[in-house]
Amino acid sequence: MATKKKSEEHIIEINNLKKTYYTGDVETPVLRGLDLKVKDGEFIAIMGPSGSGKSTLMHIMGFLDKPTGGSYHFEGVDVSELSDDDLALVRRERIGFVFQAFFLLPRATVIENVMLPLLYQKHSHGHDMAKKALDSVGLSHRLDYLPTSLSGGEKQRTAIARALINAPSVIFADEPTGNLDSKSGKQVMNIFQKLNEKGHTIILVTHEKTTAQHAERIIHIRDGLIESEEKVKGRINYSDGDELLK
Amino acid sequence: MIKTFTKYLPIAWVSIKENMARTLLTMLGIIIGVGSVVLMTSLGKGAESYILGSVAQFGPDVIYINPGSPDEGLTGSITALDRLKYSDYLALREVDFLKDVTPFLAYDAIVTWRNETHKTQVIGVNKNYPSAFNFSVASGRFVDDNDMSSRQRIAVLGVKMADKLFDNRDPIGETIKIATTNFKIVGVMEEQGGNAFEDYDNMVFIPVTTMQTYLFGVDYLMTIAARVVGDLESGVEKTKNVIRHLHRIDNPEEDPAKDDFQIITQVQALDIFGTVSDVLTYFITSIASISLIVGGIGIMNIMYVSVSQRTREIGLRKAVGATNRDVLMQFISEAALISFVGGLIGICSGIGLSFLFYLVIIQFEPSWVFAINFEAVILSSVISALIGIFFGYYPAKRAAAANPIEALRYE
Ligand SMILES: Nc1ncnc2c1ncn2[C@@H]1O[C@H](COP(=O)(O)OP(=O)(O)O)[C@@H](O)[C@H]1O
Ligand SMILES: [Mg+2]
Repeated sequence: MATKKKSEEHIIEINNLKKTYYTGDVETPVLRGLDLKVKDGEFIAIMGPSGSGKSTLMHIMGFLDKPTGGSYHFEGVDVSELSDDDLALVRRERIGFVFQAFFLLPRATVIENVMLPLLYQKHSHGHDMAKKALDSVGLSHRLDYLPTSLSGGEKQRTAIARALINAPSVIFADEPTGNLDSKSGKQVMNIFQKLNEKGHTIILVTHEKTTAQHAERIIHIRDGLIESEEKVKGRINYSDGDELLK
Repeated sequence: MIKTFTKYLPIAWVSIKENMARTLLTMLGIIIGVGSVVLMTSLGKGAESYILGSVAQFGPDVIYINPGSPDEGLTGSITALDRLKYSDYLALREVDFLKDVTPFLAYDAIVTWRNETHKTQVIGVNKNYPSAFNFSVASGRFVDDNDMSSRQRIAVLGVKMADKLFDNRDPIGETIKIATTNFKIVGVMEEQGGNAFEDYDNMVFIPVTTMQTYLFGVDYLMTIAARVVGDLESGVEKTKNVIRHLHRIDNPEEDPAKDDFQIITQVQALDIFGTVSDVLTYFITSIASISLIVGGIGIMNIMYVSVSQRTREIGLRKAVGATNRDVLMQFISEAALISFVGGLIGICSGIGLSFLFYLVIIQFEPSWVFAINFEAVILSSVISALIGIFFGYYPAKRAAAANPIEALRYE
């Protein structure tokens, strides 16, 4: 895929984005004309009540789903022109996902789970990359554990390491703290902030105000439309956050 | 192709590990299919070697003259039973292209000594029998010319029969009853062993003339065996002409249907058993194909179940960058690997079972041979992998087409 950048530094540019589900004769409009720009290196939170279309938007931005209307440019490239294989390639090389329910393979060890994305490409030093990724989420002591023996926070940090392994430019996180206690949730948000400082663009989906307060900017959506948008004042920031991982 | 597989095999392996119990279940059909192919073909090969060994025991120059034309069956039909006369034997004894000419009558009879009673095969022969069939007498003597001409009621025992009747006693000089007639024992045979058809050690041998007179009251023979001197083919031809002359059959065009006898050579016997084992092979192969197809359908079924149960895993793999082709190849490789490993397990258990069968069979047939049909082994491992690919294709296609969103929505 061509990675020619537009002159602006926007990594994501969405115009009048629409998504309607068709089940039989029933039409369900979920996204009804969204405009959104995300700068390279930004940390945004998408907030909204359940069913407002947050996940749908994230799946489209993450190349897992296709819009039924409007346009989406990623790194200056019109996504509608990409083939399925191109989309897989972008998912593999440019982005990472973190989900609420972790989605770890239960019988693969922590490090095997982290290395999963590497199965689909050539890597001679995958093991070292996975170790480094796990180190950055504070899990170097859990390499050969099975997911079942991990706490929820550790599971989510494993999933973050998996999202990190391909050095993605954007990390999408859909309710990453939704299944976690508040302490683990803080650890996870701290990790996202540190990754953002290192230059990763973070797109966080959440319905919790405090979680959203870790981002720089909050997009409020309701009924498939952007309701409002705010710059976060009094952003929660763990400057001494490293201790949280111990 | 191979290179693509080596790329996907580690992925397939991880996911087989993920689903071990189901994987083993899936393999079962293939294990049973391949296992039974290996077992059956190995037993078949063992049987073949065993039968061929039996036939080869006597040497290639032995021929059998049986009553009845070939149309009437191999050993002569009931109606043709009386075609071969004692006079035929007497005439053949005089020709120079045959030696060790042996007349045969066989008869199942009750043999009694004091309280010991056994049912066994009583064989009427002449003095040539041991040399025609490479047997020898352990003690005493065999039937001789004098026994033949004066129809002596004497008998020679196979070593097992001697043991059964007399235990450790010396049977020579004792009198036994065959049916209701008394026979004096003059000899005991060396241990000869058995083969696929006969158990020589349990037989009782008497002069064929005595048998005709006292036990049967007939003048015909069931078989005349002989060794051909010189060229086998011309010996067989000359023998045919002698018998045609004796039977007054005019058959210059050599139409076997016109003859009232047939000559079986060892070569022919080998051919016949070759045909039998070919038929057996086709039979086994068709059974095997059915079980492999059933195994393949089993794989397809379980792969479908697996695909629908693993939509989340498939969704995740796509989310982290797997292409549709990656997923397709993963599932095909998985099916191929499952059925190939199933094939290997099947081969091992087939060989193991063949050996167990062998251990059991040699209890009854000591000259049985343990054999593995390696062609079948190689063929079935290749076929089992191909079956995996073939039957794994449609489930894999469904997996590749799965929508990652459906799987990744959190419920
Ligand atoms: N395949 C589908 N067919 C029909 N409706 C769908 C489908 N997937 C999602 N929806 C609907 O789209 C709406 C938005 O869903 P979602 O994006 O998951 O919301 P959120 O993540 O904000 O809770 C919901 O009302 C949901 O029922
Ligand atoms: Mg959601």
